[in-house]
Amino acid sequence: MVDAKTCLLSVLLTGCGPGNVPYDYPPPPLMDLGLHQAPTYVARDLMPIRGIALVLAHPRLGQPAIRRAGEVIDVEWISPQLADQPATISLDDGTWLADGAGTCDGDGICHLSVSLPDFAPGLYGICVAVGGQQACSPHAIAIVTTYNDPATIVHVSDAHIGYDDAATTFANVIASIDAIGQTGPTPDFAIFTGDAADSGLDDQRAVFLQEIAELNIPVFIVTGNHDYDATGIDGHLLDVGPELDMQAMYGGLQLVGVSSGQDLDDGNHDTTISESNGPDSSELTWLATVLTPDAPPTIAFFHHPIYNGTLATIGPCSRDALKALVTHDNVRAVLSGHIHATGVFDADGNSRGLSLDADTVPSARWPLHYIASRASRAPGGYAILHVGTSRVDYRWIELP
Amino acid sequence: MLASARASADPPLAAQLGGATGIGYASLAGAYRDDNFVAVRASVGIGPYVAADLRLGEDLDRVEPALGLGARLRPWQGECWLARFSPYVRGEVAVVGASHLGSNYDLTLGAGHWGHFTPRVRWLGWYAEVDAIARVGEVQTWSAHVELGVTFATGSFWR
Repeated sequence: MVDAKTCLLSVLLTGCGPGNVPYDYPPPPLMDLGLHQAPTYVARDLMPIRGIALVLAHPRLGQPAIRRAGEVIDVEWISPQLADQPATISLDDGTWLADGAGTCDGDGICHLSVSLPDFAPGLYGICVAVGGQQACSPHAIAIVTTYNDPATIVHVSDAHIGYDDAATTFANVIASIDAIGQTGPTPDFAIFTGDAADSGLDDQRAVFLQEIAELNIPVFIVTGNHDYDATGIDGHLLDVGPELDMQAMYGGLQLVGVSSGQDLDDGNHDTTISESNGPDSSELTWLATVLTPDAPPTIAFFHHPIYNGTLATIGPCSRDALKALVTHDNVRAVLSGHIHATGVFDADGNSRGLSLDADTVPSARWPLHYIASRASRAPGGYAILHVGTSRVDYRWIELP
Repeated sequence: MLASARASADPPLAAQLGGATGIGYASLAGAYRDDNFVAVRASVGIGPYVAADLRLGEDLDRVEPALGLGARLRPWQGECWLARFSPYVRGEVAVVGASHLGSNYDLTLGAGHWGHFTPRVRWLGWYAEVDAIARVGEVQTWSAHVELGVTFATGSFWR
């Protein structure tokens, strides 16, 4: 508990300290399009400026496809100047998967459905080659033999690589997650809820991705407010992936990730304290299509929490809308980070009667709102959740 | 007489430090064992029967600060009862960071005893309370708490 209080101070000092500046925000073309249209921004603005001809959009290291052998994945790439040329999809070891031009829109954002051969269970890298260009991502495909119900999920948040010795602690966290399978079942996948790079810098993000690539399970990554710092969102769109929002399936479990955007504490919103400026209207419109009352059991995840004991929540512009979207009987859990302290709330925002350390959540209280503490605060930590059709539980693991 | 004159010259102030726990109920959660709390209360005596309280509380199990304004009313003056047993009723309105900053309020009604461990040591006392708390706003719960604590008071407080 003392730790949580220390964290609160940390949020006050680092999360809201000097305030953000305009260049921490999404670039104007992306804001005009809407955050959900980030691939279009990448195609129209970022790739021409950077002289990039091909970007692999999905699946990627931070937005993997988890499938059984023989099932189909949707491969997405962006190639504005090569859109009419056929693509070759392969594993990163050269194993051929498919050829085809795919279906491309006017911005050169292309899709191709690929059936997965009878691979052995494990993680695989994928490459797309178009017009002599090639783009690859490690650990983009996870082949499983079965979809577990409930799924065992590792929830990690707030790496803040670049802040003091966060990189070392985060490396220990990754090693600890990888070691889970030595003493019990290997988790099915991980979810990282933002703030990879403390200052949004390329080298910080590179260290983060290097560590993430060490994980022996697939991981889904969304941005945090610090990932927007210092124009860092451009780097994130190229290094982590151009999709800021994602919808994925793990068997019958739907995963919905959203970038909750930069903090609103830009000097023009004096009543907010480290609240987000998102999700924006483009994201809320999309969310309404995937967080429907008849959707399968769902986990939603983003950086800023909806419920928080004191401050630092989803911004006032979209909080009520997002809260309504995730408050469905079929939403099992809402995972977030940002406040650097563990928090647990039920659907109504009541935290009483739920332990911060470990608990099983009765179905009447679903969705569980679980806020993971900062992974990279020594000695480091992460949460393990079991989420499925009829079970939701959680446990915080602190490294020794 | 001299003692009484000295006491009346002091400002009627008191500080209290206490801990509380109890049970709660919410529509989704049902009945549950509530958290543990600590509270600091600064009080100003208004005559022999009333005290105004400013209370700062914190949940020991999670980050959930509370800032409350309240009042206590005792129907008997100490000397008319027993100096070390002084019952009172109290009410309080507190803003609580339960699910969102400023989105919740705790409305408290309670009853308690306030008194001295010994009549010879007027500055040190104790209190015990039973409170019923309705949380309104985004989170709606009912709670019943027992709070115990010590109190430090000037000689003129609730004389």
